[in-house]
Amino acid sequence: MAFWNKKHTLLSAVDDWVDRNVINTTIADSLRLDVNENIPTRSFAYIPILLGVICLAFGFVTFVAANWDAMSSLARVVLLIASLLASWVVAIYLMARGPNWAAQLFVLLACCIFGASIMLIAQIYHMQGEPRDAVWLWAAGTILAAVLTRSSPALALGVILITLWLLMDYPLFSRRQDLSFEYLIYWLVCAVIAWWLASRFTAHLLMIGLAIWILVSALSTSWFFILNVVLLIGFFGIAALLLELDLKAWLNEFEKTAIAYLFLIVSMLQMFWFLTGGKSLLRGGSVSFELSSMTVLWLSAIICLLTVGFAVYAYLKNVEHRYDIVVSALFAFIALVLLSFFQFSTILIAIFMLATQVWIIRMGWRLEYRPYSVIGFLGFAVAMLFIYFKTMGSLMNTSLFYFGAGLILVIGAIVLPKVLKKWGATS
Amino acid sequence: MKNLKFIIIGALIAAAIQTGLLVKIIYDRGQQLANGTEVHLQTGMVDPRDLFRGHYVRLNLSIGRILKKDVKIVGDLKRREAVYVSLKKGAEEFWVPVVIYSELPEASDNPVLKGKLTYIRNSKDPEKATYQISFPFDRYFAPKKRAKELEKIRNDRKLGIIVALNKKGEGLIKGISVDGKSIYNEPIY
Repeated sequence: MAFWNKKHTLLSAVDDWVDRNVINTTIADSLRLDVNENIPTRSFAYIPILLGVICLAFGFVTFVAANWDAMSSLARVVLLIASLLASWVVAIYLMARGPNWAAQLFVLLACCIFGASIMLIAQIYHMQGEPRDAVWLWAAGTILAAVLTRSSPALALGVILITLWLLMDYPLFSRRQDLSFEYLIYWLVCAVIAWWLASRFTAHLLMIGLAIWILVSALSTSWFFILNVVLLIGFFGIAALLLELDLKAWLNEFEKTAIAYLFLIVSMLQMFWFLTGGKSLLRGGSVSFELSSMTVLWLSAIICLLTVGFAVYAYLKNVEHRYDIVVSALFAFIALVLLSFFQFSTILIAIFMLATQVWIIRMGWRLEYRPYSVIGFLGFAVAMLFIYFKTMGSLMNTSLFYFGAGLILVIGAIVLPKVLKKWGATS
Repeated sequence: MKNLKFIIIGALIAAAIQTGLLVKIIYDRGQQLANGTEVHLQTGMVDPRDLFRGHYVRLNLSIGRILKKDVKIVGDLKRREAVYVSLKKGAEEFWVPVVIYSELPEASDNPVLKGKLTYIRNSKDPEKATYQISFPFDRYFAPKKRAKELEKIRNDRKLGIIVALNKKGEGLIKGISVDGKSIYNEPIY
């Protein structure tokens, strides 16, 4: 049996444990029984069959391409629809007979053929329209198929398509562009389906899609709205996910990964804020609902208050990650104060940016989750580079800033734990 | 087992919906070609070296660049947003723009074509100020043989397209015309 076979690996491990007297034969027999029952044997025959099907498909596609011009429009359309239905028939057959992964592959193929058919029918009949509308229709048909067949691969394709739809025809760096809240609605729908299907891969794609939406919106709409509201929502989201990490009620252990994405989003926004020196906040932008600056600040304050509410709840309920939830609320509060009163203070924004990265590294340590530490260290390095570039005109200022930051970090690392220890001992 | 039954029924429904959507696209197009208002639009010439890319003709419609002095404006026209061009038959065989609306007019005596305002070119000379509008049919896919025939016509600068319009102002290419006479008609299905 091949070394990459999971079943073989597990059974070999059980044999090895028996040989080394780690487990007795009774436990070994139960483990062997469990492995044999829960891991189906995969025949190698599937591989040549799969390769054969791929070759046949290539042969069919090239044959059709060679005769495409000679076919009438109707014949071409019939061929497209026949291919679509054939994929569905094979998918349904495989759903009933297995293996399931092959069935999922054919559902995905059917969704791809559906999209290709939209484009080809438009070409055959000279229907050009808006390519964006065609991608929307493709995404809608694919997401619907994903729901009806409970297919994670189809859902992943749907998320990619709807994100592509967002990016198509979206004028970046344009000052007068409305925020695309429509994308957020589709995003939420896909998020609910991904949660229902427990699709981790789609969850990753959704978080990447959300980061793209924020970036695209920040570059083309009201920066003031994005920085205030999204940054605060970021800290709120981190607090909420930390609470969920204790409750384990909703996200099937995707919480830590989702927090990592939120860290990335928050760090990205802070760095934009620092690089533009807060001047971009003056860029009015025209959000479709015409929110005034005061309303945006009020909205941010409410989000901050909700985060603080989480912190209070976590503290009162004595949840495991209460410390990090309180820190999230603290960061949300600092962000609100800086955005309201010190939005142009480069030095304060820089300190806030570095402090966030230190917090991310520390949380990686506390939760024993390496990606946070990686994000934090990388973010810290990038932030230091940005600070260097920003203050390049005056090396003395850069030097002073680095001295200050270094001193704060060293003192923080040596003195703070001792003070906290003392405080803990007296209380 | 019960779940599997639901998933198989779901797959059947998904297959039916996807097929239905494709059929609807073709049916709607067929209905528009059969019943839509027909207008003939002059096709300007583009760089001959770029005219045939693969198997399509790149169309450069003359109504894509409208002189401000030639049309009446109704509403507030904004860049990158939809506009509706009201057309009337010109002195020659081709149809010409009369009014540009920012929104679809409720009642118009003339057929209306939907496009997107891409650029407003202002000029010191009011005679030269133009609106640039893109329409969702800027290329005509043709087999090699037909493309070569069209290339010959292009050299004589007589090419036009026949467009079928629906009530929403959406246009579809119905055929190719030369000097107002139809030389290719698209089959409805």
